[in-house]
Amino acid sequence: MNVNPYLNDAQRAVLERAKIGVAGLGGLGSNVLAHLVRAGIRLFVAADFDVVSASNLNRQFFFADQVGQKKTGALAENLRRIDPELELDFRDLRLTGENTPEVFAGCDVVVEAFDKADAKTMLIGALADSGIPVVAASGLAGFGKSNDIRVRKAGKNLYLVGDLVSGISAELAPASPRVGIAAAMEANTVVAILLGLEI
Amino acid sequence: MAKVILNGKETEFSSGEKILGFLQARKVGTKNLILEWNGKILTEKDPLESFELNDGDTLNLFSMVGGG
Repeated sequence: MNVNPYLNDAQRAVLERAKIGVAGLGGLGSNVLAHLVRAGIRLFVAADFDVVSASNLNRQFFFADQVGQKKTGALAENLRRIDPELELDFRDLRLTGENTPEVFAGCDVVVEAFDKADAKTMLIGALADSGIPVVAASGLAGFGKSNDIRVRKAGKNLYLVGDLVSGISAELAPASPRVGIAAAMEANTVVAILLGLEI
Repeated sequence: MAKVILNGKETEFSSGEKILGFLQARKVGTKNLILEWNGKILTEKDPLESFELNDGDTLNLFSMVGGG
């Protein structure tokens, strides 16, 4: 049984075969994964070295009793409460320019879901020649300006979600609504790529 | 004068100019910059100092900023 009963047979066949990579399990990654699991995707590779902290609960798909746990383990537990039949290859490691191509080899799409700009740029550079579509996010801090967040396509395989300017700063914190919009747009872009729909 | 389409706008440049020099002349930093050069994705780790711009090239620039 697929968790999403609204898929037709052709869509279900594509989504159940798809393998999606997620780089980072924070505000973007945890919410992207919840969307993709609910859409009916089951096979994931993801990496994060961090633990859940109290300051993550304002936007990330974790719960208060999970503070201190590894994000890989805590998120796997939460996603399996939506769909117990997921195949999750969640790795507790720091992604680098060297290991990124190997970790995500064989993925149909990779989602860039890091917090830091340097890591975002690293991932895009590491996969630029891989032929794997990459969905990345830049510019999602603060509140308001919902309509400034959009999806741009760059080159053959790169999709950029965000307003490209609202970075984290002393005045601009990450918050659930805007991070959530970007995460949902990343997930929606992944599904559109897989199903051959308009981005 | 040769022209490049920079973020959708025709922009003049000197023949023989390299991508890095073109950006520096326009005070554009390369840190966490994603470049789409004639459809190819580049970052600061690519040899921007040796890639030469040609008349009619398309160059789109995107900034990666923190938050997630």
